[in-house]
Amino acid sequence: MLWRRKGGGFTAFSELIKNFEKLRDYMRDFLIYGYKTRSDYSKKSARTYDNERRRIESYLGEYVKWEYGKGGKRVFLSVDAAKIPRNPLYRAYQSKSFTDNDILLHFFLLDLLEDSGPVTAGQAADGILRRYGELFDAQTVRGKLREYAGAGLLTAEKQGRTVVYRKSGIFFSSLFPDLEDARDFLSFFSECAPFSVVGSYLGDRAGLENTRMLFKHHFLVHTLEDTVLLPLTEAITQRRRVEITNVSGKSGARTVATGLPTAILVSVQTGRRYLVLYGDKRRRFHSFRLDYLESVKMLEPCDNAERLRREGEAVLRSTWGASLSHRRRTERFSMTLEIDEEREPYILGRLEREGRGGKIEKLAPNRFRFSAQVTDSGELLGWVKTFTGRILSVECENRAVAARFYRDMSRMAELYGEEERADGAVF
Amino acid sequence: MELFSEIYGLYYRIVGELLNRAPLTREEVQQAALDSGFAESVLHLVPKLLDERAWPLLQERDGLLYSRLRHPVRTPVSLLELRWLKSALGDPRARLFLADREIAKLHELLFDLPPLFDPEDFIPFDRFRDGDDYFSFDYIRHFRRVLAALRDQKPVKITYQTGAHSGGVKVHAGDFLPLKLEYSEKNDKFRVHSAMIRYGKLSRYATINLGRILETQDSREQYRGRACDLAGWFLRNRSPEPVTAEIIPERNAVERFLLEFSAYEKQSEFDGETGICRVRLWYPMPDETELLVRILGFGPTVRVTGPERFVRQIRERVRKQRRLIAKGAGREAASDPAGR
Repeated sequence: MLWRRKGGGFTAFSELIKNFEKLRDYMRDFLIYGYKTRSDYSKKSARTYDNERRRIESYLGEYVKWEYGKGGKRVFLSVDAAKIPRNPLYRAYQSKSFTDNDILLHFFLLDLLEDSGPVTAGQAADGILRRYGELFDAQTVRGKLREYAGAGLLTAEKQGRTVVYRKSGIFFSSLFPDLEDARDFLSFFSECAPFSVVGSYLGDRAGLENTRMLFKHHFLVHTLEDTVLLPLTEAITQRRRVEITNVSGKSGARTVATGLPTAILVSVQTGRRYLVLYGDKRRRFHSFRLDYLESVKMLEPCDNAERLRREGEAVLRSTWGASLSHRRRTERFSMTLEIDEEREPYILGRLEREGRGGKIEKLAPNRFRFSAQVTDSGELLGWVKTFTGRILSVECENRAVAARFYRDMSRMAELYGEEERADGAVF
Repeated sequence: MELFSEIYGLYYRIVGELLNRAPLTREEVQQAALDSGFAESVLHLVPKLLDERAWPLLQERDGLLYSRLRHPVRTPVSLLELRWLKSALGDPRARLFLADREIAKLHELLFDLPPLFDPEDFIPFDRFRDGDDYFSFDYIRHFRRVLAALRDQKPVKITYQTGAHSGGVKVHAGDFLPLKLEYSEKNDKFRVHSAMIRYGKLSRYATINLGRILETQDSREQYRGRACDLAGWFLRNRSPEPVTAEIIPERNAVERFLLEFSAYEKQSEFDGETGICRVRLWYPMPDETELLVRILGFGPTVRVTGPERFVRQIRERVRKQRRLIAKGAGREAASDPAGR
């Protein structure tokens, strides 16, 4: 339990943490990358790594695995998201540290207010002393009462110059009289809704466990972004500007930007989520990866928010993915596919289902063209390559994009030993 | 309004439950921390709770620990939870789980609160376009009937169609015991994993898309056999060997690949000298084509190295692609004799 400090003293290891952001990066690395060793965390001290790893082991024991490789011991989270009833990362949200006063006032105040009627801070402090024999100064009690009124556990009412507090009357049982209805509703939304961890808090109140639902294509890691997402959605709703601090995933460079947030783009296929922000500096729309945002600060309301939101919607209508090009002009992209209509109608189904409104034309028997008009046609290539083995040609106004496709196909052929013979035949 | 707060913490929850269960022995307190706490909670939480000078919430008399509270612990629902609930109720899928009158009652209770988020502000731009129709009266009816059968563990008669995408539509009917509902965010579809019951016996396991159900009716079948082993079925469907692949450090492919496939059970190793990341990935066999296609999307930044059967399929597609490009180029040259 004790770690030796450099100076010779000891510092206790705490299972709970004050700051979620510190743990967030480690959890993400363990879950997504899984190949990093202790020495890869050179930015922080080895002690920090040991403490965070130990906490993660404490919260998520059964999912933590390790292997020894070239660089040393690799600790990782191994989870088959489609087979588990609940996102295990929610455990990290249950680890906030607190003081002795915090926990005592929590239980004493909620117990006192159960039958005392409305109380002022002074009356609450007196009541705790009388009933439980514990002395707290009125200022400390007032702070906790205010905090709980802000959190909605209590209601505050001004009576003359004093504020009186009472317990909120909304309990889990008043929301959901039928526990089985609540179980199914919360089992679903506590995995699939934004801020899904909040649904898990609600379910925990009634001890509800998910026994009937599974989730496929489920990105557990999204929950770790929720602490930065919360002020962003508040700002979107209130039409306020924000200041964001972004840490580049590639270079680690930290940049600060201000502007109006207008939407959250979610890629349900790749797992990436983005903030759409109208930036003050360049006066255009940008997208920022949510998992690269370090912090968000809410600023004042934006005067022309409605106009900018409408402009943002227009920009999004001509994008394929999350690349918000400053170019107004769109580029035409098309690919011609060979599809056996009789035997492979599901490929046509794929084009309709996955083509994001692109146009599908029949050119000849078993020959189809898919086309789209977008601002950054390079974004289509990932999807286009999923049709490898069926593509007759790719045409694009942006020639570099078409060239990249053909280059990639040549490289694929090299990679899998399908080089072209001198006579042009493929073997 | 904090998302990360001790009021939702595990320690508060365990202490609340213990206070409600008191009187208790010291051993029972320790056992509760072992059963419900984090791995080290017994070292951190229990000493505090058992020390009346630290957390005077329990009082020891005659070898038993009594709660010092007068009432059972009842914590009201927080503002964060209520606002989240209001947002969730605005989602059309809420009607699959709650009756309209329940939703209306909750809306009434929450009428003066702003929702935590507007679902419209979240744009799932690459979600498939043929998701389930949550506004369809019939869909909701079938969903609820399947869910009720799942809750009651009773078979339900289901008539459904298959082959809508392959051109050969077929209608099937049978009695199915629902075992789990599964939702895919990418497909925006629900499926039910179930056991087909014939003459009171388990005939086979089946997965049915809720959107393909034509009718649901009460079933006369009863299943009294052994508990269905869905986990065993999943295990039998799991790939016998993992897909192994090398990800080349180009176009941020390592990060993109590992995030995209983070839902799968996987192991990875990074070669610091070459920058290549080697991954082993386990997957359900019915998803093999989907996985193959998604890996192809990474182009030359991912090289699949095994198993041989998987590599062979990729090689076949790459070979076919080479032929098609050669064919396309030939056609282009023929239509443009000047070579422009």
